[in-house]
Amino acid sequence: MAGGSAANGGGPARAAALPISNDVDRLSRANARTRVLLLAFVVIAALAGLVVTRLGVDRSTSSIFLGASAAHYLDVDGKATFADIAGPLRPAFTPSDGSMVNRGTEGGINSVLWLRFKAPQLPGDASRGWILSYQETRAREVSLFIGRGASDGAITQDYIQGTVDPETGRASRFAQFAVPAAEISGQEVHLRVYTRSSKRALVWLEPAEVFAASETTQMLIFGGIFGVMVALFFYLSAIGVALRDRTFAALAALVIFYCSYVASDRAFIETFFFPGNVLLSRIMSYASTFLCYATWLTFLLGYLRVGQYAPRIAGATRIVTVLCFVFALVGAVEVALNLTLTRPYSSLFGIVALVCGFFAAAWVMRFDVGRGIAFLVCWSPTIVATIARLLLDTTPASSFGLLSVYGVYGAVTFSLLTFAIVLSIDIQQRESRMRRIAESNERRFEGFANSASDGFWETDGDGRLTLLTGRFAGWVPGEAQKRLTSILEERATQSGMAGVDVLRSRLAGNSPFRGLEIELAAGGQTVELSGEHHAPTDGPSGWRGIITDVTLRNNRRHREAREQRIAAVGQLTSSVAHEVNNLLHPILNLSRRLSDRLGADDEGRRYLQLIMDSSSRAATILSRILRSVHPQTSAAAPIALSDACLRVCEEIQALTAGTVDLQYRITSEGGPLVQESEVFQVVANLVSNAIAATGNNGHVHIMLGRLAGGPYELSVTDDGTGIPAELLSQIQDPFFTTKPAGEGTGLGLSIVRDIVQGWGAELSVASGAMTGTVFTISVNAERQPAA
Amino acid sequence: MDKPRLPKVLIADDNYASRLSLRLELEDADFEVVEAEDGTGALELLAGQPFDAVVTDIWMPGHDGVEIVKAIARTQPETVIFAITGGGPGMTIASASTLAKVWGAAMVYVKPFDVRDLVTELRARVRA
Repeated sequence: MAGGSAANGGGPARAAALPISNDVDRLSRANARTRVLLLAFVVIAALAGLVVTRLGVDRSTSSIFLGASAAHYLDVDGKATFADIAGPLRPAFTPSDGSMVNRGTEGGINSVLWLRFKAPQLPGDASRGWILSYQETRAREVSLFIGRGASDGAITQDYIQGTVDPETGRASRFAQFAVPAAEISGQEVHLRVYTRSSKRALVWLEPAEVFAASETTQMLIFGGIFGVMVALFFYLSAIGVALRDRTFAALAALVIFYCSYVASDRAFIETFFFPGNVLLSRIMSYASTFLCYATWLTFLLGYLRVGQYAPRIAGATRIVTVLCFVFALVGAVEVALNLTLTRPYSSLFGIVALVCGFFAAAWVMRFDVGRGIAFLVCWSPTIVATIARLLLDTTPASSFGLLSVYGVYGAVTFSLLTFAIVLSIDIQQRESRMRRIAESNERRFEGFANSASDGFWETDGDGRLTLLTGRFAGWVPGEAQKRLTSILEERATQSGMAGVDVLRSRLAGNSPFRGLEIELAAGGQTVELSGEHHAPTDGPSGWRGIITDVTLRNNRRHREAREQRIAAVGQLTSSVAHEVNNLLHPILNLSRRLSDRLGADDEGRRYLQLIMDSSSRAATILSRILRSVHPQTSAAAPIALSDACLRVCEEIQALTAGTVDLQYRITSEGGPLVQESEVFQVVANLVSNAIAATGNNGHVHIMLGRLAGGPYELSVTDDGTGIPAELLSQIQDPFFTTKPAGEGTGLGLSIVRDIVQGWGAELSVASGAMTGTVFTISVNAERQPAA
Repeated sequence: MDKPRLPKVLIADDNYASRLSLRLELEDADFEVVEAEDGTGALELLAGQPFDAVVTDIWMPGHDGVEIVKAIARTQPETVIFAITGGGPGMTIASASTLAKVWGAAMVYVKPFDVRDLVTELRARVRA
């Protein structure tokens, strides 16, 4: 469910990013290469770490590890005294099985671990100083008993955690007892250990100088770890703050909390930083553990983008994170006030946090294998070191070096360091990906801009051109930085200069402008400019706008205006012709009538004949004028052929009702744009002929259809007498015209032909004596109007 | 005296001289002539009495001739209709005559024409 919704959520983003998928693919391949290299690097480092750990087992030959041979007894009440332990009623000790005893936190908070072992016969000078150490920093009290009890003259030494040596001003990090060789050599030794931490037999016996050297080594190791950690913390914090990146911040916090944990757990707090302040160390140790878990989970959520892939798991992980913070806070208070509320469950909860984190990481592997692997690989040194440490704890070993114990700290440091490197690489890749996407987008939009008929222009605050795209890009070859006004001035015609002046005043007045036309000298071009001032808060101000070549548009406008004028003239002409014809009509007829009354040789008759001849000539001239002008019967916008046909057919059907059975069928939508009035004239003329052919009681069919992809075909069919063959051939003749209109031949085909030719269409006719006539007009779907 | 009933013709034209030339010629040919000087008048006359024939201008003030043609074709299909036209605004002679034919005019004449042709044609149709 969570996976499904995450996949859906990722969908649109992916789709939007599609155009740049090539770049992204290339980058993810680069990512994969980087990860493989990183994997190899970490594996080599982990192997090196293991080798060092193994070497660390063979510590100085003069150091003697006694933990493996110690028998132990767990005093649950913690009330037994040395006399009880070493006296005649001594309880049964569990003998050593050859490995270091580890009873963990068994036995409760009051329990005490007793260790018993026989010190070896020490070589060398009997007065040589030896150090017996119990190297467990969390041990609160350790007492050493050499010999069989007070009666046998047992030597007793006590160590209490955080006790400051008045001479050095420092406390010991763990229990260490100076014993001359003579005192301990071959003696039975008891150690009483009171600790709330793990009860282990971490007991060494070494010559004093060897012990000192080992201490120095440890100091060097931890000094190195602290140095690296602090440097890492500052590095990560700086980046986290600079980039406002939570993941970096979380990792920085993890580093510093881990540092704090190590410093307190390894007892550097109460010995070096705040000598004797055991409580602070305990609080820090406890709280740091959970703060580490919390920051680790926060980092994990951010780095693995768990929320993006599995929102529910991310939610659960966040809850665990918050609980970690709560545990840290409550635990700190508990330790400070010596209470026991949540502390018994802390280990369990720590495991829950770890499992939760690794589960989330494993889940994310399903969606982003690369990141999941990188995550686990980075933690692998820590995981390997932890496993090695557990193995060392449980495998029988006569001795092992401290280095193997401290290997875990080194490994964690190494893991954190690796993460810092991975994150830095991540950032660089992200930046380079962003840059590539930005560059790719810039190229795309540049491509769009340059292929557009409109150009974009941009100037700086002084009006100097900084950008010009599209077909005008060639205006600024190489050296830009020329004023837009000067560029236009160089190219404008005399009348175009007026536009340039307007532009200059607009720029000076910081006022926007729109539709500013400037006529150019070259090629009779006219450009139109729009623009406005922009003053962004984060950059220099300037002007930005669009430049458009409007030559074609203007030409079209001029042509349309001319056509309108011609149409108006035509209309006026036909109107005048009508009036004049109306006047000529009575002149001619009445003159003729009058002339008929006069005698053949009457002079008046001759004058009347002159009047009639002049009138006839006037009528002829008028009819010629009417033929040459084609007044637009309507200024209506053209509509699709099918729509025009439908309206015309409806109208004609209504008009012819009663005279003929007229049916129509329109089977195709759309078609070229035509004037409805033209369609009316065509159809009306053809129908008129059809009605005449059927003798007013036949059938007429009008059809408009289209064969797939072919031309539109408009046909008018009748079942009348048909057209005689000789006339049919005349109709096919493109110069065929009817006899002068008005003499009632009824064939308005010349009109039909004119209009159809205007459509760039073809008119054909098929006729049979018995089958009637079909007139068909073929119009191309994308007709080019006849020029 | 039972004079034989003369065929009755309605002339609708807004031009007086045109009407006159038609009337004179039609009366000579034994038609009873009634005149209307616009479309509205013609329609009123048509509603009041039957006519054997109507000669109407296509373009007139009021109702134009096309409407008269349509009205007669609808209400008095027996009446012979002749349309005459001098062309007109927004309409070519050809389209006007096309319309007149489509709507039921038997003949269309374009001014100026010889009125005697019209009379001959009308006589042939009405006397038949």
